[in-house]
Amino acid sequence: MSITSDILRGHTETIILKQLLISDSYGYQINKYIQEKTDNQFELKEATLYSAFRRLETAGYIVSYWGDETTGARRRYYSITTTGKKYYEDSKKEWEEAKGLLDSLI
Amino acid sequence: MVAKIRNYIQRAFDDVPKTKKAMELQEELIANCLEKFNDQLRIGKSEEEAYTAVISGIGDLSELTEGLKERHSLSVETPEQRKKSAVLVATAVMLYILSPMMVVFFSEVVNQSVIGVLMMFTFVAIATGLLVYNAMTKSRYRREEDTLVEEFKEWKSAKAKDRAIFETVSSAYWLIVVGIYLFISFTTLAWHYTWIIFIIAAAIGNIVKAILLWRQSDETK
Repeated sequence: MSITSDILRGHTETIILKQLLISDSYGYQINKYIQEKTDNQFELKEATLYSAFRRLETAGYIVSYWGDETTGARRRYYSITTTGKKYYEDSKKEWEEAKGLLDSLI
Repeated sequence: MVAKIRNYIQRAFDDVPKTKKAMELQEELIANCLEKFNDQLRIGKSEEEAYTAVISGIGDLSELTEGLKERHSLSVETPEQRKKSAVLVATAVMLYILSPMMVVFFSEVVNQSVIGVLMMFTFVAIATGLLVYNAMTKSRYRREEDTLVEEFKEWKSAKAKDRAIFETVSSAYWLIVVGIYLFISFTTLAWHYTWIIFIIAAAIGNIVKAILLWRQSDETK
């Protein structure tokens, strides 16, 4: 499992971008989605998740805005930018290549 | 339990400068963790279990907070920003220098001295606007990373001596300018032009100040 989570961690940013491609979202929702998709086998640490948000934001791949929740605490939503979409496509292509290579090697 | 989670996150931010960025990140983290906590309760976990799940899910926050501390050293001006700022200052200086010429040109060549004066003030206004814009975009850039208190402390200790020198030199400068103005006015008797000396003097004064400040910020880097 540790190899798996290492590989997954290496693709945190692409995983986040993929979620934002579907719709704008916030930290916990993204993490919840990752958990559901992986059948509760994998969950990002908050620290990892928010570090990735900061990196993506600095790079201009995502932008954030505060939601206007009427009840409870306000949430910070993230939205993917055009350059972010391009970056996602590139990362995905890279991953496909890596996957192909690994498949032929292992 | 809610307060405990809040405390846990706040403690991680203890030694991080209280910038807007840091406070917002803290708020975001707390909101998301509390939502997770409530979800855990909803699926039937006890408060204790839910708390453990939330805290263990947070992971090592220092990788986040370290980034906020490092920001300061990362926020050195990029070459593009430097270039943009240089263009702004250079344009402003050029406008200052050209502005009195408008008066001369319009009153001597076209014989429309009013337009000349208006043109001069427009030039001065644009130039000042450029300088203000340049200064504001820069200072906001820095202040975002630093706490105001630290900045003030630094400024107070380092600048007290510099300010005293600056003020003395500045007052001497303006006395000399008044002297030059009176001298030229009395010798040429062209009073309707000589007041331009004050504007030129102000421009030169600001340019010198800008150069000094620029050097100073280079040294502190």
